[in-house]
Amino acid sequence: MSTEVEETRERIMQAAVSCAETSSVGGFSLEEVAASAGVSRTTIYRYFPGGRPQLVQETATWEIARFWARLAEAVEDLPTLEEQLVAGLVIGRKLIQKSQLLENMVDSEMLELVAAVQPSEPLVHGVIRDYMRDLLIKEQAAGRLRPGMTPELGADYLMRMTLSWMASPTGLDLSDQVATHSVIRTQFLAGVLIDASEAMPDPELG
Amino acid sequence: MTENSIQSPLALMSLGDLPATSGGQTGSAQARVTSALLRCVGRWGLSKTTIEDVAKEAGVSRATVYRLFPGGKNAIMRAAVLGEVRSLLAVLTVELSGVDQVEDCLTVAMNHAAQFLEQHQALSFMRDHESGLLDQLLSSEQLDLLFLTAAQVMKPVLLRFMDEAAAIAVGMWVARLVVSYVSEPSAEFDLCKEQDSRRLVRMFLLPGISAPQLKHQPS
Repeated sequence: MSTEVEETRERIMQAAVSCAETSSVGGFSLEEVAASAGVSRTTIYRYFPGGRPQLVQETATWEIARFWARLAEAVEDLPTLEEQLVAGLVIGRKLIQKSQLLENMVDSEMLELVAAVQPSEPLVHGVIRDYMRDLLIKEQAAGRLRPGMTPELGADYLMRMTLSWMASPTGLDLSDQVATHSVIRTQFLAGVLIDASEAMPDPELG
Repeated sequence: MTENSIQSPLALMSLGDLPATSGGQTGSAQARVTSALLRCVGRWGLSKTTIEDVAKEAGVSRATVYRLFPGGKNAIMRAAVLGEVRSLLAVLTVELSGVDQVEDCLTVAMNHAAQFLEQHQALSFMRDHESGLLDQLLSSEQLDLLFLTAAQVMKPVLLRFMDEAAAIAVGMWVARLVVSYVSEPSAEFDLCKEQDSRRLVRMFLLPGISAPQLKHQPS
């Protein structure tokens, strides 16, 4: 696909997202999306021959990828895995709350779109697991993984913890930096990284 | 407490403020209705179950069901989930009272909770046929309540091994993992197998509970 074609596709999907965010009960129309994207209805049908359902479906998939890419980008310059996870949890929680608010305002078809970034979505699991695995491969190269830990084992565990805490941070005030760091260090990283936490003496694994 | 030890703002919050047992006492009208709903869901799912079905199964009138649960079917389901979690935790508390090692305690808690959920007919039906509805049931608010309930009930058991902040945090930690592994099974850790639960406890939980927080066990 040429860049120009791809840009138009993305502009239409972006318009669909903003129409979904601003439209009142009943959802948006293709006319609104067309106006917002600065294209004609015919153009929308050229890119999405299935019409509104196809636009919603593809926008949902696109939005998942973008959601996690934005999150990854927001944390990529932070110096340690601990800081990346803390920031990721705080920002991710805010994004999720924003999309949960949307659920109350949009029609049932658009629910698919906003549900797409929710932690229960299976597609999301794979995306985060792969992302965590890349981070842990770097930690492994730096010699920081605990004995017996692999990037795969650690990535699956960190994916589960991240989604669980994003869905329900109950018991933790995410604006409290010290407390959030402490949770990341003990519950997320202590079993994964060598120096994550003041590890207790090796339990007797008899 | 060191900076690296588990801290829990929850320790400051009165766990007694949690909503009363939504499932009601065993034998109460509420409990009859919630368990009737679960039996129906186990047979043909939540979406096909009507208030009529539930009333008939519970042996009460439709009006009674609506009086007890003005929120209808979804309200009964939310109460039923919480009621099931509470009864699971009550059984666990008894089972764990004789366990004297922290590793065994966490392993048994995780393993038995997973087995209970695996064998749960209503849950199995929904997981296989109504996963969208199941996701809705596990909303943020419902998960909050579920994790807080787990922390509240597990606390006395865990206090034998660790300080209060750790006991609350670890109770919720175990609940998070059980929910995660039951709703998204893993090839690596099948929590219904004791050795897998134990491996998970050794690999991820024990290293995160710092030594100063653990009470020394008589050997």
